[in-house]
Amino acid sequence: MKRKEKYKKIRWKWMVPFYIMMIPGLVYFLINNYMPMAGIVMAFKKIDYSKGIFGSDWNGLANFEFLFASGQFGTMVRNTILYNGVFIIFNTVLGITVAILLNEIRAKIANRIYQTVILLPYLMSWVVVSYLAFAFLSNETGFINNGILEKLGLTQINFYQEPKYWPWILLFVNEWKNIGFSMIIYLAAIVGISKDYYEAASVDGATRWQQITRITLPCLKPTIITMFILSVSKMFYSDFGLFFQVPKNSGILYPTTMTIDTYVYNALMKQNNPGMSAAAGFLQAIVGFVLVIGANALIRKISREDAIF
Amino acid sequence: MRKQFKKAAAVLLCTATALSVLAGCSTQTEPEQSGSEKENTSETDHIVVTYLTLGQTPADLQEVQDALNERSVKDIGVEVEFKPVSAYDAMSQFTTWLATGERYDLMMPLLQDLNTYKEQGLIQPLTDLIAENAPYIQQMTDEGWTYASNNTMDGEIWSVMAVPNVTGSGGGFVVKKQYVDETDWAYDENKVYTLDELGELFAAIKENHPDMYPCGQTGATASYGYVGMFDAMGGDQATGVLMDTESTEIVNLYETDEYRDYLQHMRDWNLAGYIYPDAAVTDSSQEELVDSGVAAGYFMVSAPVQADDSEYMIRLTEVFQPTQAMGGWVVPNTAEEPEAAVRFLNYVWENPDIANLIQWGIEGEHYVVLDEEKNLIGFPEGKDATNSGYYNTLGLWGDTREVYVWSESQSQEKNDAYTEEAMNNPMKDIGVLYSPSAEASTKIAAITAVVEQYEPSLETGSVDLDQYYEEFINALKAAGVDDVIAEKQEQLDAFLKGK
Repeated sequence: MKRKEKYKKIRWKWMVPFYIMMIPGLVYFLINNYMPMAGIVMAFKKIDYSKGIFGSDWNGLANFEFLFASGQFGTMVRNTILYNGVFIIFNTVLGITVAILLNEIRAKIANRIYQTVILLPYLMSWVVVSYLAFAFLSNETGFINNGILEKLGLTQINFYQEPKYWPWILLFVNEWKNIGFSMIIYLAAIVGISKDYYEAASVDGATRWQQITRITLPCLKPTIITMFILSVSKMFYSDFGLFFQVPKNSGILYPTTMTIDTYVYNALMKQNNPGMSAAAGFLQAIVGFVLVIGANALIRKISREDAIF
Repeated sequence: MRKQFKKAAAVLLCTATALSVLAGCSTQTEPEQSGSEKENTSETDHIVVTYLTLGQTPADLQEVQDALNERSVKDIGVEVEFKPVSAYDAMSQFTTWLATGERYDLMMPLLQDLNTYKEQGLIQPLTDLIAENAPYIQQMTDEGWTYASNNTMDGEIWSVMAVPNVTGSGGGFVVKKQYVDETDWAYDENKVYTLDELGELFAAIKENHPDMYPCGQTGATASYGYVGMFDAMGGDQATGVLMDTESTEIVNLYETDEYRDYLQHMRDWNLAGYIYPDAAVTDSSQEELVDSGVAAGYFMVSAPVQADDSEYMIRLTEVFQPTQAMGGWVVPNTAEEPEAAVRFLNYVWENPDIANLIQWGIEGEHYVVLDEEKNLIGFPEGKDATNSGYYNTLGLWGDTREVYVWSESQSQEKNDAYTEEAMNNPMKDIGVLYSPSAEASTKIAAITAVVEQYEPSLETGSVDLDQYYEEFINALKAAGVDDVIAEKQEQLDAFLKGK
């Protein structure tokens, strides 16, 4: 008992400098992430500025109703979750594949050029991307309609009025834009793997393929899990640029392009109602929280040492 | 012990959060206190007024403000301080300013929904303030000039609008003269054309210019507002409308035969190549398409100012008088001198020369009078719109029928003729604005989302009508449009009874 207390004191003293170093970060989080949380009450208030946010009347769950009133809640939740799920898989698989391929390129200059070219789309604004997509897809001047389909004698496709093509278009655009970023993260992890493993393996006669499956992939596991949990926490959010700008907010496409964020934007743009938008944000945050806890619990079950908490 | 520390940290975080909640409380109540206390110690009352610009603050604003104060302090004991803000920024910033308690005595939420301001407790009712401090505006209201102080909600006046130099509305199609003159389609200024007749014009233009899309882009704005005649009681057209000037029955615009017929025309015209193929999603404005020779014209309100010398205005409905909920001058709850603010409004409305001073600057320096009869002014020698120290075309002050104009095409004669036509054909709901209840505004959010989804594609004729029209109507009903319409009808009935 006594020894334990003494040990505790030493540990405390030893840790003090670290906590001091933590202070700026903690203060940042307090100000930026925790203080605004008090605003959550707005989701349950009928905002009246003359009474102030906290003085306004309670509104029960009325602010949440608009999400369900149009009967489209199912569509937007399905879209948000399915797209995010598919994006997580594709981002991971393609990101790792490209990172490994890039890592195998020995010519330094070529390596740098490929890396930059793959990363470039990630640095573009969604507005620019939406016009690139428009240049391919539009009726009047679009490349696909006028450059390919017409030349082949096929009927033109009215892309912005046909929901069925959009899951593929959105998946393609998303991967084209984001693959560079996930590639960089995995590449950084791969570069960090000690060369000794590979040397030992090649002395033992392991092929390139065996080195990838037996060394690289197992060493990437912690990175993959971290990235996975991070993405899962955003499962209920959607990339507004992708789902709003790229389909040009064309209403007919909503069955396949509407997500929670775009619905909230369209419904509240004209109404300017802080209570309803707080309600939508609150819902997303709660679901995100539950998903993170859930995903982590699952990982803890499968392999304990890889769980984040 | 690690666990214990975790516990301590958790407690710490909780306290901090709680503290921040308290901090939030205290900052929130502060502005109210400062807003409620009033200092009437000095003889002159100082008021803070928003000054809307189109992006650039006039260089001589201070000079004009001084000239204005010289007169207003002497006449009514009010000193004005203008706070310039771009009209575009105003849309997003006004509510934030007021929510954080910034002081404004007069504010102009141009083209914004006043109901939002009222519901969120941002503005004060003006009925009593006007009765006590603004005899001229009160007199105009009593004489039945609804536009001097329309925007009545819950039996109270909430804003004072500038008296427009032209009132009234009506559907029309603005088209470049050159394309019409090439055909043998007969144009008559005062005739009301049907959509079929307009279609004949498009067919003729298309024949002469196969590469052109005569009807251009129709989906950017809710086009039916420029094609048909209806009035939405100051609310969104999706929340129910009166379909003509005799009607007192609120109906769902999208369910009417007129609207269905309009959509059918749009679909036919789209297939015939009269409508720009990417109309539903393009970012090019209607004017841009016309200027670049892609389109021949666009749907517009039929007021005379909308067509310039190179264009014809094809009328598609009679001219009528709608409810206008453009927003007007409001007195925010953060005002410290509401009486002085209303007194100042009265002063400007009563004296056209004061309105002229705020609108066009100082005579001789910023403009010269060319023709006193016609109220016509021009720039002094060596000055134009680009180098004048004071040139702001937003006409938001006073009685704009009396305020100077710059060109004869905006002549008051034409405007008066149009206004008179409109005044003789008023909608039954004039003088009342729809004020949605909390349940209704939830439904309106959902209804708006449905309209956003279907309207652009349907109104550009981009999709098959049989497939989507019914889906659209059903989605509106699912979103509760009938309940909202019933509520609106109730408010209209109550208003008509009290009239």
